[in-house]
Amino acid sequence: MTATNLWREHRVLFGRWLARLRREPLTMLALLAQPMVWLVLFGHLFTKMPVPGGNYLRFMTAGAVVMTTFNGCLTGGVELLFDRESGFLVRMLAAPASRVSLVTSRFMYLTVLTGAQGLVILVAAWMMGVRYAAGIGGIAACLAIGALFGSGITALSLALAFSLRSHSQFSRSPASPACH
Amino acid sequence: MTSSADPAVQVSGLTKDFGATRALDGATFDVANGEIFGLLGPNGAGKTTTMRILLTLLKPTAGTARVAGQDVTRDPVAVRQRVGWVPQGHAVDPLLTVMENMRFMCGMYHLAPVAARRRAAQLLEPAGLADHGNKVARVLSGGTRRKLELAMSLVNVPAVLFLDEPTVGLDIAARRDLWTYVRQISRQGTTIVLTTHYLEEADALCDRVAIIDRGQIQATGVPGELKVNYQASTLDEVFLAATGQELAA
Ligand SMILES: Nc1ncnc2c1ncn2[C@@H]1O[C@H](COP(=O)(O)OP(=O)(O)OP(=O)(O)O)[C@@H](O)[C@H]1O
Ligand SMILES: [Mg+2]
Repeated sequence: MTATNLWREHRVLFGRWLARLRREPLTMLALLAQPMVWLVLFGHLFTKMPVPGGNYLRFMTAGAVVMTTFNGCLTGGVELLFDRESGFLVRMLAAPASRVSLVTSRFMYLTVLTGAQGLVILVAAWMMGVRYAAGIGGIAACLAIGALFGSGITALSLALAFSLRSHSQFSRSPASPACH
Repeated sequence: MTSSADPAVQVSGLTKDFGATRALDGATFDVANGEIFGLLGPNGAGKTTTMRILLTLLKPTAGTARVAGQDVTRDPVAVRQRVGWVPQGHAVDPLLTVMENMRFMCGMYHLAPVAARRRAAQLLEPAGLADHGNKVARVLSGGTRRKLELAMSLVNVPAVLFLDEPTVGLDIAARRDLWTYVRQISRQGTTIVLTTHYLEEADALCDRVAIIDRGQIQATGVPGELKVNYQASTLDEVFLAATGQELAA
């Protein structure tokens, strides 16, 4: 298991997650639309709401980033579950690639995806007038903390995905947003 | 350790229990290098279970198996590097293009990107897929998709290729087309182990067959010999006799 081999596996595994996302542009749109709707709709609806800091939009921007990361990572296990049901997962396991790479590539993908979404939200909020007191460093810290938080949620999601038998059971589990 | 005189597959006393179910019960057989070997048997006979053990995806309860000179339990990664597999279900990502699927599989077998591109092009040509490279796999017909799955299973130039019911769900033209492709792969020196329910397919394609029932090998031999031994005119009759089933009158 050399570093070169690990790199080659991760390259194609990560590339596959990205290609799948590209082929489903509606998913990508929905991923970005949801936090935007929050910002625009609730940001304006609750402008009079007394919150710490005094500005509701500013208050909820942080929340939008966290919720987006949380949702993205929690549903992140589902795709591996699809692979298990379709039989593609076991086909991958028949290759000499490391089993761990399947999971770590998923972590990498979700970190990049939710990081990008977080950044889009922060930029959108900035355009709506939110200013970040902590500056660029604060934004970097926010994204880094988001990545850590997201990794934890991804781990939970993957553990759930693999300990439950089927996809329908996953969406019925109380931790999943699908049951709201 | 590996000499070319060794059989490509050596299975000895292979047994697999799933809880109380005995899926394999002391199966023993060899597959010679370069052979096309057929595993025939009714549903639930243990064909897929045998393959999954040989592919290192399942651990046997008892018995030993060597594939391409490597022990499946002692050195699973070495086995995985030397074998290819087209499973009973689906083995392509329907959302990826033909070329993306090929290159994905190349990466899973540790080919460098440049080598992967070359290997993919080399394999798509004889599979008749050279013009389909940019098509999303979802839109391919059943036969074309199967050929893609075969091409994907060849990225590591396997010593032994396992095909689990390769022609299920294909029409007769697509089936014959696939046979031609399988023979072509075989001529390049790859040993092929396939399972099938179509005895006509075994007759047309296989150098040797084993008939398996309830986890046990009931008979092995060249299709022609089996017909003589069982005084049968078709492999179907051999199959029914070996598995103790009766022909409905
Ligand atoms: N993961 C599993 N857990 C429990 N039982 C299993 C499992 N896999 C297979 N079996 C059982 O083992 C036996 C052999 O199954 P196997 O899939 O090897 O048969 P097969 O010959 O491939 O059949 P088919 O022609 O239907 O594909 C069956 O009785 C099956 O129910
Ligand atoms: Mg089977």
